[in-house]
Amino acid sequence: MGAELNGQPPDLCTPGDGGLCITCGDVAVPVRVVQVRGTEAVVEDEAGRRETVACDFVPDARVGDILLVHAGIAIGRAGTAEGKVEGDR
Amino acid sequence: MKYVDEFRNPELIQKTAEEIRRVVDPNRHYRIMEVCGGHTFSIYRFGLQNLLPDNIELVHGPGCPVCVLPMGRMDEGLSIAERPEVIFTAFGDVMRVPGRRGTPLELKARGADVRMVYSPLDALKLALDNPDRQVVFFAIGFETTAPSTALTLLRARSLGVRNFTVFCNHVLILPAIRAILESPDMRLDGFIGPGHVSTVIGARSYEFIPRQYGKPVVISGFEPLDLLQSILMLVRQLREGRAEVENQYTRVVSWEGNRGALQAMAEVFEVRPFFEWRGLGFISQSALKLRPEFVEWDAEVRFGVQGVRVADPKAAQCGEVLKGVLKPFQCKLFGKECTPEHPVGALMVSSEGACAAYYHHVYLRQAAGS
Repeated sequence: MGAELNGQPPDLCTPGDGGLCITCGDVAVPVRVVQVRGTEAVVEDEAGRRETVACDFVPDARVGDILLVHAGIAIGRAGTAEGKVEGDR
Repeated sequence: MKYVDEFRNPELIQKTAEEIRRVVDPNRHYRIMEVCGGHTFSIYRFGLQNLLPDNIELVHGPGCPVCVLPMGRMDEGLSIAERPEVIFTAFGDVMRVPGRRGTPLELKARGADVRMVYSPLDALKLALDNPDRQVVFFAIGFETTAPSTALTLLRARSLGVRNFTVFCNHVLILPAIRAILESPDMRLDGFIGPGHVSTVIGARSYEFIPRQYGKPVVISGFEPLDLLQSILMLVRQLREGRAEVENQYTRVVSWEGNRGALQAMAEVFEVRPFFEWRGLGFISQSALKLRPEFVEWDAEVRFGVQGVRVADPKAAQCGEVLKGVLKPFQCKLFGKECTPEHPVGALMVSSEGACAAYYHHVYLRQAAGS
């Protein structure tokens, strides 16, 4: 449920070591939707890592949308399909 | 990646920095607070202060939820974590925050079942997978994070999960900004508004700042060009004698915010009469607690949390740094007793804390260059 990044748990946050707190701070990650399954979406970040996130708060999310994800949950969108994610296949 | 690369374009960054130098009034000093810890991190990481004229001073605000959490709340969370029936879950940022008897990681080393989660939904899943254990999620964060806790609690209720509770430490950014504006030593000229909190609460929420306090606000993204554009917009407002809410981060932030997220928060949480912020003291109406309808999922109720108050180490000057009165390096403990490896004050714990960000991106570089 969001914790799996290519089957691996995320690294332990290492403050100051390039490990910006993505969970509890005011930071959200832009990701591209590759699949929508009910209230969940499979998304891909710029490094090509995929995870499943809840998209209850962005109920009209579609494949290709760029969503902002924070703590495993989409909190908004950052645009639509023209956003190209590095690692696109 | 679109929405990232173009906001790190060196030519555009240089051009914007030149425009700031052109617009700025050389005869005045500008004190601009970036409220959000994510902005603080970006400013240090990209060395943005070096691109600005000397008379623009960036002041780091209270927008790091780890940094403003009082030690008493940490101690209370850790006392729950020590119970044998409990699986204690928290975000990675929390794992190194010291209570009086150590950090969650140290507690884990002593045998407590402490686990890092990326999302509160992962904690709920742990509860479903471990029906004979009590799973507690240590919730922390501003309005960016509170919707994820709300959604998790709504799911816990609809699934009838009885072995899951939340220890709620969610705080609200607007009362903190108001407290800073009301502070007698307030000398700020304008605010860089938080980007992703605003995704949830909307740009409209900041209107009280220009209306009641006459200070401009520009909501900003996190890339170098975002921040420079926001500073330019603030300087223009000040130069033209305007005080308005402007939204630089229009690709993400709307005027109204995320209605679904706000509804979920309203259904699950109510505002506490007051809450203590580390360094800022008690601020009224500044934090969230679970509504009585969610009492079954409230760790404070289930584990009888007393409300302990623990004074910060006296020598640490986190409060002055949080309010922008002191710079991190002006604290007596900075780089000596207080380092990211052995933090004394909370601002040194999280990478979004002003002191840790300064330590890694300025202090160490200067030390290496000397």
